[in-house]
Amino acid sequence: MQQESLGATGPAGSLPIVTEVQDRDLLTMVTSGDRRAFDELMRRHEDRVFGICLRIMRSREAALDAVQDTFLTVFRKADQFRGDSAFSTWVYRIAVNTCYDQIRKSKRRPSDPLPESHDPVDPSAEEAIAAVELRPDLVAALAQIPADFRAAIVLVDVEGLSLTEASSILEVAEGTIKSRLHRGRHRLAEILGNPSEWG
Amino acid sequence: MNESMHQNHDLDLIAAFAEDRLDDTALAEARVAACGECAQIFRSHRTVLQAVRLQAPVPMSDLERHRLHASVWDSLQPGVSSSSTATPAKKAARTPWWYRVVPVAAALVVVVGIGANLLPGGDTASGGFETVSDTAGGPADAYRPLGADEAQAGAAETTAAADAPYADTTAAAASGTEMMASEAELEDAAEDFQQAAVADPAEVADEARACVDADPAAEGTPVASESAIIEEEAVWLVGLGTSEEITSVNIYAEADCEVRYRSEDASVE
Repeated sequence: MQQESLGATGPAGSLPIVTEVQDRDLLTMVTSGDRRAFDELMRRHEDRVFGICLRIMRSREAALDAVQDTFLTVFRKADQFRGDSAFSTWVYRIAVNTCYDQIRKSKRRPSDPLPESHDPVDPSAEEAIAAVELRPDLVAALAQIPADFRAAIVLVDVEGLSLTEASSILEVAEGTIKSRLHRGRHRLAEILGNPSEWG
Repeated sequence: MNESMHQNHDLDLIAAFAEDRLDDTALAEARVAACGECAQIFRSHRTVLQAVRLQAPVPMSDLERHRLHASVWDSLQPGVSSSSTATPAKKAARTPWWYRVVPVAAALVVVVGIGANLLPGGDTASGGFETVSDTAGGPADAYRPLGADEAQAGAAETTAAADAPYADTTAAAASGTEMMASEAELEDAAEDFQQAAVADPAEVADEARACVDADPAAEGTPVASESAIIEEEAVWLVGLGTSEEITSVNIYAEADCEVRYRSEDASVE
C-alpha cells in the first residue's frame, strides 16, 4: 500500500511515477540527498521497527525513542549499506542494536526503571499493554528474560522472521539463534507458571 | 530433571516440530510419543509459541507517527523546530518570523540612511535604492525613495525570500517537493488529536492562536494546540471548545495559517 502511494501521490518531477520503488533504489536516492525517498523508507518500515522495539523495550515511549534513533542512524549511514543483506535486515539490525544500547544506558542510570524490571508495572506500561492487547503475564515474562533471548524470540516467534534473517540481524550464528530460542522459551515457560513441565 | 539431561535429546527436531517447520513429522512424532521429556519440551515450546503468536500487531497511532516524523526531521535539520505541546521535553523554542528579519531590516535602513546622507542631491537617493532594488530584483518603478517603514518591509521581503530554502519549517525546507495531505489523513490526524489532547487554553501556542484569530470561520475558543508534520507540511492542529472539552479541531498551515482542515462533527463519540 505504502509502496504504491509513492507513485500515486508524488508530484510530477520529484520522484518517478511508478507503482513500486525498491528499498535499495530509495536508499540510493537518500544518499543523493532526496529526503522524500527517506520519508518513504521510513513509512515502509516504521511499523515493524516499532513492533520490534516495543517488544524489546516494553514501553511505547522508549520504543518510539528507539525507532527515532534507528532511522536517524539509517539516514546518517545510508552510504554504508553494502547490500549484502536485505535493506529490512539492515534496518532491523540497527533497531535491535539501538534497543540494546538504550537498555545498557538505562542500566547505568539506577534511577531509571529497567526494561527487565520486576517492579510493579507503571501506568504507561499498562497503557501499552492494553493498547497492544498483550497478556500481562506474557509481557512480564518477556521483560524478565535476558535481552538476547528476548530479541531472538521477538524476531523469530513474534515477527515471524526466519532463523537466517534473525541470525543476520543479531549477527550471530544460526545455531546461537536456535539456542537462544530454546533457552528463551524454556525461561518463558518457567515464568508463565509451567516449570514442572520442564522436569 | 535438569536441563543438562535434555542435551541428549534432539532439541532442534522438537523445536522445528513445535514451530510446524517440518515437512515430515513422523520422526518427531515418534520421539515425542516415546520420550516423556521430549513431550514436555514440545508442549512447553507450543505453549510459549501460541502465547507469543496470539499477540496483536502493534502499529503506531497516527499521533505517534506524526511525533516520530517530526522528531526525525527536526533532528536532521538543526534549527528546525516542530514543537508539540504533547511532548514538552522535546519542545523547541519558537520565535515569531519577524524576529529573524528585524535585525537585517534595521541594518539595511541604517545603510540606506548613511548612503543618503553621504551622497548629496536627488541622484544620491536613487543610487542608494538601486542597491536594494537590485538585490530584490524589483521592477524599475521601485527606484522611488522609500520611507523607513517601506524600506523595512522591503528588506523583510528580501530577507524572507533569501531565507526561504532555510526557513524554519520542515514543509518549507521541503519546498519544491511538497506533498499535499489527503482529506482522510487530515481527518485522521484531527480525530487522533481531539482524542489525545487535553483542553488547556494556557497550552495553546501563540502562533496557533494567531491562526485562529485570523480565521473568520473559526468557531470557539482555542483550548489546545500541537505542531505536526503531515505529508511534509508543518501544520498547527488546534482544538476549539471549552476548558472541559475539545469540540472541534482545525488544521492550519504553519507557514501562512491557511486552513487545511476543519472538523465538521463537533464531538468525539
